[in-house]
Amino acid sequence: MKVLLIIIFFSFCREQISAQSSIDTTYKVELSITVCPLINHFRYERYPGAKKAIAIGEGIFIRSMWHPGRLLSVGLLSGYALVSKDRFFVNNNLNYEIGEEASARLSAIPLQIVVSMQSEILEFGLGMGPYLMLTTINFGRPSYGRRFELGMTFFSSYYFSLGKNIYLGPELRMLYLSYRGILSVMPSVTFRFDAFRY
Amino acid sequence: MKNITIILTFIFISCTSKLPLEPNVSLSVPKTESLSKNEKLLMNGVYSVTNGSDILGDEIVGRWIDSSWCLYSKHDVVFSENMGGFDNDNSIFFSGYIRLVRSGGGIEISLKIFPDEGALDLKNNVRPANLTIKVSTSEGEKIELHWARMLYDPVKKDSLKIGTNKEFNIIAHRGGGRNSERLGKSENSIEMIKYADILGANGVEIDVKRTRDRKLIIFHDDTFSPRTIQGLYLLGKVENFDLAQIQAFGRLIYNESIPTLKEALSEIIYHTNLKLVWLDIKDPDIVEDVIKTKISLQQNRNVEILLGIPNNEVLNSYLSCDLKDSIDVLIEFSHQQALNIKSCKVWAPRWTNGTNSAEVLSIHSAGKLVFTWTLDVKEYIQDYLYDNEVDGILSNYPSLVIGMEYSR
Repeated sequence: MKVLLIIIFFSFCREQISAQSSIDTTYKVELSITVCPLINHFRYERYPGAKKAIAIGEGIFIRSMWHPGRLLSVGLLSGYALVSKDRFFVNNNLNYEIGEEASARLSAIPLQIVVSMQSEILEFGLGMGPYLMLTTINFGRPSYGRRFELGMTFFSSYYFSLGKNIYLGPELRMLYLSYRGILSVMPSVTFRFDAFRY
Repeated sequence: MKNITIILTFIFISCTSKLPLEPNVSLSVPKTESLSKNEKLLMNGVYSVTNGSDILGDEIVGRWIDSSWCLYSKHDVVFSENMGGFDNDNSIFFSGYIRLVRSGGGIEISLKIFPDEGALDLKNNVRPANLTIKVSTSEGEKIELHWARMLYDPVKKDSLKIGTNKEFNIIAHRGGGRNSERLGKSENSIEMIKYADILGANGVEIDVKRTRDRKLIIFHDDTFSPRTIQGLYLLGKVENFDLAQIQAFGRLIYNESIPTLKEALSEIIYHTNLKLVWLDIKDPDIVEDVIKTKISLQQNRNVEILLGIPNNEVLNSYLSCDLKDSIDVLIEFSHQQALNIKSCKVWAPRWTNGTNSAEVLSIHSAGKLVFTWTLDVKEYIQDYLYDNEVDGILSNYPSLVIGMEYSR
């Protein structure tokens, strides 16, 4: 699987290099805002005794792409995703003062480099780099933790034009956090516009 | 462009990489009659290996550890655990596994000693003239082990050995081995500590950390991560969470509970044969709590619990503690401090610093011991075992150390 993805990635790069021409073009900085639910599959238990491997979250992402008028564009991706939240009873808790009910939530903030290939109405892209993982635990006193972990985001979009340089369309995104074994599928809506042209 | 491509490829591989898994080997106990203590002693020894030296090397140490017949290679980090005893036909039968730790491999094996190849002599409590163990692996390989000689007697300087421990001190790192060794038990877990003697250790080093509510747990890293625990919601610094939260939301890699210091020490004292515990203390603020925990335990046997002192901050905390006389210490840095502090039983320099013979001699003259850490390289283990006068080695590979020590 990994080898296949690497081949696709390099084919992608090769394609965009050969697609370049020497004609002067307009350079653009595009902003895309994506809103989506997250359908998450967890390879490992989220907490001891967790039965369900799937949880639903939600997210909003913003992507800023430098698009030199060719097929390839590069940029940055950030945003906020609520990956999961759980509430459960701790059966073997010996600390009676804090009760038996525990809850927690895990969020992720991507800080990724994105490479995408796009035409006027289609875009395929890959984001790579760190996610800032944030956790909140409520069991007794609240506790907070954070940690950077590497992840990958794949996305493909189709756009309908709403006016000059303004687009709206469906986007399918996938997030893979291999270290934690989290795969998220995000059926999204993306709003795109040109923030800057030169 | 080339550099960017290399960087992106590196990030891609990092993003999609998976942690390796341990091999699928199990230990089944066949229905056999157990060997007596004397019969077991007669089996202990160094065995020459024919047809299988590529796995086990030319020689291997065979040693009973309670009810397990264990083999330790001296040529690589390879060990074997087996269980069994006398079969109906007066042969001896074992089944178990061989773990090839560095490569992450493992194979299941069965072992047989036929009546005329030593089993009958063992039953009659006579040392067999020719003791041969025939090994069949799950991959169809046939290996033969021939008893060659007695185990090396490590008792050289009894008067200098700690407590009742007359053996060379083989101390297992992180309770037995790191998670990266894929031993099927998590580092710093109770299960790993119980496994340490099978790995060849007679002592363990465990890491002590403090939770937000000042409870002491056995954990190595400063932060929770998938390297050490399961549990999605535990991430970031250990000291950000209370013990109840850690135990409710997390498990170690192989699904064990994260133990407290008291649980770990109780387990060592009451349920293992380990003779020495090296408490690795990185945080000076926990010294007093560690000593209080040690005091709270009633020992029914002499287990040496040593407070590891890695730097001056922890040393100062120890020296300013009113309870300091209640625990012996192991000093990891200064030879002079090890000599000066009365309660210091062990000087433990890092192995890369080497040992100066004059310093070792002065430590020994003061009735103290010298350990070195964390030594995993075969050639240097050999140097320290054969050419230096150290009294113990802390290693991630205790099976290699015992294989090399007892086959001398």
